[in-house]
Amino acid sequence: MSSFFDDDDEDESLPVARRQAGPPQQWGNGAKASSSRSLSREQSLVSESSLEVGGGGTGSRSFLTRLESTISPRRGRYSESIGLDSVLDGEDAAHDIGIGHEDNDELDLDLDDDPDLDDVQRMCRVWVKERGTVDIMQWEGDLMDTLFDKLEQQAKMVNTLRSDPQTSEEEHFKLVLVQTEMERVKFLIRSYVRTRLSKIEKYCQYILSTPTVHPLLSGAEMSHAKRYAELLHTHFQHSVLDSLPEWLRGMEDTYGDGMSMVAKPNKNVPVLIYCRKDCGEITLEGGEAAALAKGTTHLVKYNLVESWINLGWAEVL
Amino acid sequence: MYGDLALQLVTASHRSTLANTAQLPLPKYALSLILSICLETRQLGNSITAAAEQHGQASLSQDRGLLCSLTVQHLAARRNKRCLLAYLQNRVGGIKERWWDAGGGLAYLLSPGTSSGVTSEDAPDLRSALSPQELDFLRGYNSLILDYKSDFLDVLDLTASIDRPPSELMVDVRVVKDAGEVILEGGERIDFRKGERFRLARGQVERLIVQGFLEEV
Repeated sequence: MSSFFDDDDEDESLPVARRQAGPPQQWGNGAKASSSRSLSREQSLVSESSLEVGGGGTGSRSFLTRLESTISPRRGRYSESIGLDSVLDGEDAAHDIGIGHEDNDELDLDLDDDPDLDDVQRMCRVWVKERGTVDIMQWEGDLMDTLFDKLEQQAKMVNTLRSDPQTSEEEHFKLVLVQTEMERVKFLIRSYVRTRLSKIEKYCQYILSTPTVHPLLSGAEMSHAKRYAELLHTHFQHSVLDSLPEWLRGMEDTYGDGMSMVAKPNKNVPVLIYCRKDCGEITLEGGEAAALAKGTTHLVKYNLVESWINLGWAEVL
Repeated sequence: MYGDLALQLVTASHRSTLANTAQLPLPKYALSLILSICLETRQLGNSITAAAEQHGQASLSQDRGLLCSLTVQHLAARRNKRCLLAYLQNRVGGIKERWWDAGGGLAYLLSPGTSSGVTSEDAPDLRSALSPQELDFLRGYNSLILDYKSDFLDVLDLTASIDRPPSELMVDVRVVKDAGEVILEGGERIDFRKGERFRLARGQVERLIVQGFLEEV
């Protein structure tokens, strides 16, 4: 459950696709000339070196390595920017979220600032976090911008290469992989944005009346919240409120039982968390203490571990 | 009794999953019930004000019976309001869900004969099930989301399905309803006739699948 790609039956192809999905900048130079020949020239140069890296692999492994080398001719620079070296051992799925590997702990410690995480992996984390919590999280504007840029660049490249008659059959196959991966990244973004939208709509009054929440939203989201609240208010007013006595037309009453008309995120819901760092002890409601040691998984109420989740020390599953 | 009608309204809406299941037709807006609840609430309101004016502040603290009846009326009125809003809110949720399910196709959603994917004779289509106010809301919501998603539109379509991650680029589809000639993203023209099968890029025909013209094989 750690990875969104886990259920996939084509895991085999994923590392390749991801790698292709990665390096728009470098590849862009090659693609601008839209010359598959210059690519393949570099391929022959690099495939030797990368075969050394992945040396001794099985048949399919060396095929993967070859694929990779065609797509990212300058592996050095590429892995520097995208940091997918770890994928070479073919266990990419678990790396997406970065759990489930004991030998992986070092890598996990730096959490979201981990330079070894590529944008897609980071997006995965952000997405899981947003979906796993009731609260609205920080809007990841920069990450989204980068992803959008990359997607756009790749779409251009794919189009150029596709219309290039010199593109070989094998490269067309790779292009399909690239496009599939692009679709998957788009799915992630879409789901992320829509999760946020549904939260915003659900809690729009709370969000508008709580200034501390405002910085978490992007400008577009904020204006959406405002306009949605207006829309809803108008709807309620026209439908029933206008025909009620005047003293009953408010939208922010609190009822006798303490229920407010303003819906707030219910922070008492339990969340399943995985501790990436030692989070110390928390006091449960019954007065008991529970230790959140590194590498353990707990099911606790959200408000008890909220700060750890925000710090990134604990991760929502 | 005060509040009986309101109770009827919310229990019906609570028990029925129709409003929240996008595959089923939305139940009709309970206009007459809502009007009578509003009327009841107004009468309650009037009687409260009348009693308060008639007796004034002084007698209110002495006359326990009056105090009691005013409290009951007041609570009943507030409860009515709460029930009405809960009903509306529930429907708003259902309407939004249907909108998303239809991929944001407002015209498709409101077109007669397609009651959220299920076409049956006795089921009312969405347009007739909505109150005019709800229709306004739906239109407003539509333009709201269109505004929001226009920021992203050059890269991705926010309203496409998020049921499950795409695993394949291409998809086999069968045409279940005549869709006529459609120009796809790449500039190809395809004449979709009932019964034909195609293998196309998912992104290009996603909308047609959502709207029920094509069916995945």
